[in-house]
Amino acid sequence: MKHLFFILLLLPALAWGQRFQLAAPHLTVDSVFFRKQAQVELAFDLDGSTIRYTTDGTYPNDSAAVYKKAIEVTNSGTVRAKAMHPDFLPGNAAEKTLFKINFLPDSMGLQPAPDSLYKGKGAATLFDLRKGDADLKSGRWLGFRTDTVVVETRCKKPVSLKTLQLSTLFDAGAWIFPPKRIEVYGASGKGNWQTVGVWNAREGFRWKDLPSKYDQFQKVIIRPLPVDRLQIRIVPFGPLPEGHPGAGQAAWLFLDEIIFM
Amino acid sequence: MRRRDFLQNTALLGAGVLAGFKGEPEIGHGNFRYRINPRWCKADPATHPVTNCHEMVFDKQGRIFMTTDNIRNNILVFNKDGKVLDAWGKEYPGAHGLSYHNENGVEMLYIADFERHQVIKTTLTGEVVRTFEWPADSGKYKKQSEFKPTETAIAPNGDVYVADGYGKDYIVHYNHDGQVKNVFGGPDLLKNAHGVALDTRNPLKPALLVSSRAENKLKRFSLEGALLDTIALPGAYICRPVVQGMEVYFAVLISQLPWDSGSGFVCILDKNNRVVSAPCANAPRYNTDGTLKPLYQTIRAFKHPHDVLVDPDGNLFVAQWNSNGVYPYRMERVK
Repeated sequence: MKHLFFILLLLPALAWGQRFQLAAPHLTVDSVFFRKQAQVELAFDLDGSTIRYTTDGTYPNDSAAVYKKAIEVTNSGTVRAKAMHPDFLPGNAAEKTLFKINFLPDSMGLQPAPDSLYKGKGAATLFDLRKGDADLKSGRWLGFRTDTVVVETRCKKPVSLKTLQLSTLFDAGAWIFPPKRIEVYGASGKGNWQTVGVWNAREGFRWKDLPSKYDQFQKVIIRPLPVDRLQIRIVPFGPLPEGHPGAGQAAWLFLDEIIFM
Repeated sequence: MRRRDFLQNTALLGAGVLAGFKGEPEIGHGNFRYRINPRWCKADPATHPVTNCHEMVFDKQGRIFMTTDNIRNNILVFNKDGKVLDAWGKEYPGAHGLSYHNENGVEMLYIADFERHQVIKTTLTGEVVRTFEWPADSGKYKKQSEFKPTETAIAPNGDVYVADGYGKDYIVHYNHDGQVKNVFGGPDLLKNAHGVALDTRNPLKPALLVSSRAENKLKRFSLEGALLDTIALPGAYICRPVVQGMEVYFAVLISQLPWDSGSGFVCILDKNNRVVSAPCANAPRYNTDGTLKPLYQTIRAFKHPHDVLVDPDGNLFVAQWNSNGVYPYRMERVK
């Protein structure tokens, strides 16, 4: 008897037929890379819906803060937001990671030059605090199809970085793959270069069926030595993997920003 | 079961069903609200498989013809209840655009096949009547493979306008015999000219509505190929416009890049080309300067809608690209 009762309780759900899932809220940010503060705006213009969000890295649940007005962000971190509505299943969270830039170099150089189609403003584009998007020719991205890319920077006063992050692009269909290795060298005054950080891609990158990613960052932990010169050597992915339409030919490397934190 | 329990349970069941129906949400805005039925189509994937469902048209009897790039049956024919009536075509690997034209009582289909680099005119049962070939003498193309037509629009006099949406974004104007009369648009004016339709809402001045999909715009051209005006629809990657009555309907493939983001919806413009409803997207709102606030998906009922067919009662049928091989959904208009 008890069972029948529960089955009957379930029937409305069946009669309902399809319950659709909500999309993620529409998220816009004035600057992904910022010096003092950034503003995140969320929108989900569907009658009866609520946006809940977090800024502490957790996933928003039913008790997360309700979005009412633009969020002021003053520290690096990830904003995540979810739409909720009684008639629909909850959807995925929209998320955006923002970076507070602690240091900017006073001068910079780049070897070799980027491809002429994606040359931006050369090395300066890597420190212009402007995030590139799906428009590869916006001038915000530098595209390379070469061997190791070397970026050198100088700061007038010595700086102690904790991390260096590289903003890169992945788009398998466009033959653009993440770097294979990043080496960072530092020097102070007339001193010699010394290794201050290394990052290596994981073996066996599973690129198949992976959607394009315009928000992709490689994080290099830096030995906090005061340095006034930095050299960043970025080794591209190399030949495209087996199973790719361009297998064996060189992958593209796209760089957007180098972030000193 | 005791009689009292039975009554109690039956009452619960009834209330539950009622509550369920009441709770089924209406989707859309203003006078254009719908209930979506993903299970309208009764086709069996084992006998009538689809890969991408591209476009749909009605014939005179109200049967629905649809293109799919599955070469086991490039054309599927459904009745209004979603039952398969006919299936044909194994030679159209890039079966994409589909237009219907009643040629003095003889019904014709125009299949735009971007992989065959041509448009094929057939009868309703698939006999080939004519092909429309790449405009070799126009000077705009070096070879046939650059021409990847996605759509056609047929003028009342039988002239055919072909949108080269996956090629060089030109609109090629042919006479009914397939001779090229004009080539216009092109990469400077159109970015991904994926759809073209005859806009007959002003019968004195018929025009062409062309989607510039990657720009999120519809552009109106004269039948002679002059750009008349532009309708900016930020967030709408428009597949093809469908003019029905005084409205323009279209499937929005995605509302944000990448192309496989699954962020599509359906959209309806009124006679002034303003968005009046965007089922599965945010409520359409205009800024004081007359520009539309960006559209974005709110309800994930669709992944990548590719075409909208409107029946005489205002119900919609939606075909989808790259959506796990689903058949078209029906959207019942809420009166």
